[in-house]
Amino acid sequence: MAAPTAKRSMEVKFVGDEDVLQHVVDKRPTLRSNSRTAKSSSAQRKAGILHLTNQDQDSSDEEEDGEEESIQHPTALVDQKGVAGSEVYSFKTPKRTGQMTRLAEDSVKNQTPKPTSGKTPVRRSARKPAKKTKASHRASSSDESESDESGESDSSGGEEPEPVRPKKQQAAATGTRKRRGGGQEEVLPEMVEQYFHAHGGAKAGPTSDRTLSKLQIPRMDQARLQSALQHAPAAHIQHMQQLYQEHRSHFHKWMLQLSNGFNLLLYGLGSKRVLIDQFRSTVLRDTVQMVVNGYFPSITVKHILNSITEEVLEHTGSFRSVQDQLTFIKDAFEETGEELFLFIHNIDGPMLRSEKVQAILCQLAQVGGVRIIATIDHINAPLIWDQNKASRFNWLWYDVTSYEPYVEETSYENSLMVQQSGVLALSSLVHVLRSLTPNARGVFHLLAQYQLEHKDDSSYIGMSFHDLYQRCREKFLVHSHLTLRAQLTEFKDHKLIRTKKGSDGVENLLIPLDGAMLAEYMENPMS
Amino acid sequence: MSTSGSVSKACFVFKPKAGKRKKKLNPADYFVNETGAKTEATRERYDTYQILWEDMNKDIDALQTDIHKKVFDDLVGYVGTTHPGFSLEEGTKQKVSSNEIPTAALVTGVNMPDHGMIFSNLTSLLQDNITPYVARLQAKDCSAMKNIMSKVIMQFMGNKDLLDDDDDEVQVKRISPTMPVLCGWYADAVKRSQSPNKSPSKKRKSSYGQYPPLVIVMEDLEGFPAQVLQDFIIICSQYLSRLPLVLVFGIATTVTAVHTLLPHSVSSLLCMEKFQAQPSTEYLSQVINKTLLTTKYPFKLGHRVFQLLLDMFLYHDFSVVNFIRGLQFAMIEHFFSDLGMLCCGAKLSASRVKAMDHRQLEAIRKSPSFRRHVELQKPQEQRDLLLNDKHTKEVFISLLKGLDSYHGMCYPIMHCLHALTSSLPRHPLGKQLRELYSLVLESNVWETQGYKDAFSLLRLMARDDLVSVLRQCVERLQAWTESDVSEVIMEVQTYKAQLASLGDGSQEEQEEPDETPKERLSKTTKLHDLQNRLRESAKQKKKLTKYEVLRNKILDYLDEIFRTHLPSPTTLPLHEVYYYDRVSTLRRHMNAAPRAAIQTALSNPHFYLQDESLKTEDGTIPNTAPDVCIAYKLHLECGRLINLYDWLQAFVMLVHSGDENGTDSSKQKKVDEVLQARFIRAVSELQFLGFIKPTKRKTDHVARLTWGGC
Repeated sequence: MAAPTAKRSMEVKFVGDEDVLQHVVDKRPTLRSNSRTAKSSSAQRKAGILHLTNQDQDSSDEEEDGEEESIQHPTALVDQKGVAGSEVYSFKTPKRTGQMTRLAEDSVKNQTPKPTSGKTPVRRSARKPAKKTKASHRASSSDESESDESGESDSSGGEEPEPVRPKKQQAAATGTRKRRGGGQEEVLPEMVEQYFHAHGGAKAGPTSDRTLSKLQIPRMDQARLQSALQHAPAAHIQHMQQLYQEHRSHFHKWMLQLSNGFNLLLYGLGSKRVLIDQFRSTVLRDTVQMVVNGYFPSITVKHILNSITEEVLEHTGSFRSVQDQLTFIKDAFEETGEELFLFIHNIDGPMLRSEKVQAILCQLAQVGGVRIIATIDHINAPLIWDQNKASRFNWLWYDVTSYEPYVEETSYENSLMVQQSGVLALSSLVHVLRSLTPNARGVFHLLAQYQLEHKDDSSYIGMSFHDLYQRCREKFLVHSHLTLRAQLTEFKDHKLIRTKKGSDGVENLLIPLDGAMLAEYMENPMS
Repeated sequence: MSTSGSVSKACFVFKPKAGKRKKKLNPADYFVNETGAKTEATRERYDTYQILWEDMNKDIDALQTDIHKKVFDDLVGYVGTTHPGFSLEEGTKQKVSSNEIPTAALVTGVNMPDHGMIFSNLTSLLQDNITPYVARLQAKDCSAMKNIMSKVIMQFMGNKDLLDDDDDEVQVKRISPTMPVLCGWYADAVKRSQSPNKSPSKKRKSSYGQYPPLVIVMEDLEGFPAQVLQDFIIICSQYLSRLPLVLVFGIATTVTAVHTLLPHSVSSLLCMEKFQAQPSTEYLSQVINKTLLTTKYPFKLGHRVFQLLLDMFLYHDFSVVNFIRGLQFAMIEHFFSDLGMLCCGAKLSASRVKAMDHRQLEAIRKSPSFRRHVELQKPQEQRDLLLNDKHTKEVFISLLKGLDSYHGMCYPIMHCLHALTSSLPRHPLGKQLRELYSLVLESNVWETQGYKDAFSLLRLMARDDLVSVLRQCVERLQAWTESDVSEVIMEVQTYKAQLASLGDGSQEEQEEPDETPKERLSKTTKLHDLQNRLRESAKQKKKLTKYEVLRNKILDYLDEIFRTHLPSPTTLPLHEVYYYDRVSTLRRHMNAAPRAAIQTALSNPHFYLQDESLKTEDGTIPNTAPDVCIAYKLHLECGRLINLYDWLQAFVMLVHSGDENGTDSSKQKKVDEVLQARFIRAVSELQFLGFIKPTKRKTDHVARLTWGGC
């Protein structure tokens, strides 16, 4: 019976009889015994509450009951051996400039070649992050790295160039860190303070103002990056090979589980392409397979479904809606009893993430005969499924950490330090335009010229359709709204232009290229 | 077969060459032993699994229809009576008094994954009994009015039973989906079903009324867009005089969801009746009863696996379907191992034990429970058990028999214990049978604190309660026809009778005890003496009443029964043959933590790569670690924004420290370029994994997205 006073000050909300009953399972038998054993005082209190809430007997009784019961915690869900949730999900902690550099320096100092003693027999056992020792170590070695650190922080504008202060700060910080590992009671106020320290105050956070332009090669393009990476030394080949062999040994299990109606979901650090290709070519030889690159930047679920209907089922016809197509696929597979192995690299890819796409994919997973083997890499990937979808997919999860670099997967991503050369965009533009009529080219030319004229205007949102139509007419490029619309649709399909509704509801047309590139195009349009 | 490097295509289809097409996937092909070979033993294991799983599945399916029987019957009955006076005949047409649509709100509970089955059962039940016209709608198909209407009309008109053969399905698709079309079609359909020249197959349908209602089932009401739903209901109510429409709402939360979705003006058009489906916990209990708490199936779950599946059920989704899947997965795993060999009925297992070869015997000898058993034997016996195959086989057979008879008694007695304790305050042994079962699986139940508490509470129980509890015990025991519990029943019934006959003797008990104190107190005594005497009498045990004596006797007897029949299976030799308890496997595959795996791989590469050089004892980073690990660890030291330049410098410093050779400037430059490329790769991998993202708040900075791991 926890504090009755707290109970009295509680806000009472009207909860309908039915609602409560639906949420509470099997409380009934307990009620009887409760009322029998409860002391008279509690009975009085109950009566008081009854009076106060002005409710039917049921709801207040249920509340009473729930209060008595201690909250049960799941015991088996948590893996004792794994990483604790608090380690994975924690609050932001305050950071200082140069902390990264310091860690690097410390680590460099520690790189004394260690004698490789006998192998550790136990695999996957000790994995304690050495947090405390890390902190204390840093405290001791900070003296040594002080000179470097202060030298660097000179250039980092915001920081005061006083060498003593950061040290003190750090000592304090290490102190708090240590304490955080200790008793729970002390931790709380400490954590609260840290939280507000980390989130309040400085807007951008303490980072230095140096930029990449200081480098010899500020931006690398994709080709240069690839060629440079060819020279990178390959590390841990042997151990990665071991991991790979271990994963390979599961192939039979995979097949067994696939044949029992489960689908496989592979996760873990490292590209899984090699493993899946291996699986495809060894165990699944002579089966109908389909591979989907989910990381591909312009993939749509329509592509996937079309590939199934057109290439796998060899159906030539179109569908009115996605649902129709799904029904067709379902019927076709059930009729023929064929089997399709659908491999989806990165089912969490940016284009497949949306709720709708996953809803379609999970319906695909339910088609008898379609087996899905998918991979995920993003750390929050499981969030794309709700319980319903996850249950429909019927996943079995496999950890296939491989440490393979994500060469293929990241090649499409606009990484920060990789220069977007724009060569591709320009060449595709020229390529498309070459296949168009002179009139169409003229329309595009007009639009480009207009955009170039306004390239210094930062508020330029595009050329309105009406304007374009007027100018086109003047140049005898089009003779009706309709023909212009047709041209524009063609551009849109090739992603040469973008349309945006302005604030006044007028459609504005924009070429999604930057000024320099557009100018280059205008100089020699057909090269 | 390359699938990489394409810039225009993301889907690739591979088909086997003609004639080489493989036959259908068959699980039997993949039931192999460790070396990957198929043997007689693996075939047998597979067969056992297959038979067992099919039987179990059949039982569960039967249960599925059974569990909702009552609510379905009610609902079907309701639907049957919704349009009593409906008629299309001009003459008899009576004015429909109100335009309220009869609606059944079926509250299904939050276990969404199970709902598909509930509704398909309901649909087939409706089609068998009331009406051939049932349309099922799901929120995902109904984003607009047009979709709803075409879906409804397609399902009503596409009903093959009433369509003539020459009616092409394509035609149905062409029809514009509007209510008048539906009206025309319905009038037509009714007329046709009444016309006498019908083929015999249509005869069956005569069991439907003259005007079978049109039932529209909305499976997940909460998911429907409010506006669309409102329009649909308003339109439906307008056509009530011409179409006998009935709506069935599937509601996962509470009935109030209807009112949050619909304004009063719309909800007043509905005449709702509520139907409450069984909660999924009830269903789960039944599934457990049918599959695990029975001697019919030899396969059992060990404590930890059972607890994991229960926890996943109770704390994740309340989905019985997922529970059953976990069960299936555990079964596959169990029969995939050597121990699964003997997990079959007693008769089969005896012959299988006889047929075992030395290697298989060794595998089972290695099981911990058998080893424990061996250690308890005399030295001679020990040697025999370990070396003499023939002797071992005999022992195996008798041990397995012992396990079977243990199961035969264990479950009824457990029911008995549950009946005894489930109504105690605070439920020391759990409210549900499954909680008690979990306790029994874990350890000897009489050693638990809960058991002791329960018995101390039972020893305080009033007579009426005790009698009713005992009656329940007997009832539960009598339900077990296949086990030999008659002795226990007899015994308990005798006690019950004794309790009942005690009824009149209660007065005399009271007279007896109060004589002695009277005479003692009559004498005048000193205060000191009185104190002493009181102390003594307090020490003296109060004399027990007859009832109390009997109660203790009963409870002692029951306690004895529990101790003999409810030992934990883990204490029995060879329990591994029946009990699957590899919880880590199950957890890894059913309840995985992908983010934890990635973060472990990044922060502690030694966990995966068994390389000594990757081991660190203090927070520093070994420069031999994979690039992405180094970049990750460095980024942990940063705040919300990370300066790419600084990051690169730290990275280069760290990685470069490994190969300190030559200050040759040209070579240096080359190294720098490679290092920079490696850094770029590491950063873009981190971006791909979702740890950082580009930001425009400051030039050449990235934003951090996670805060864990530091």
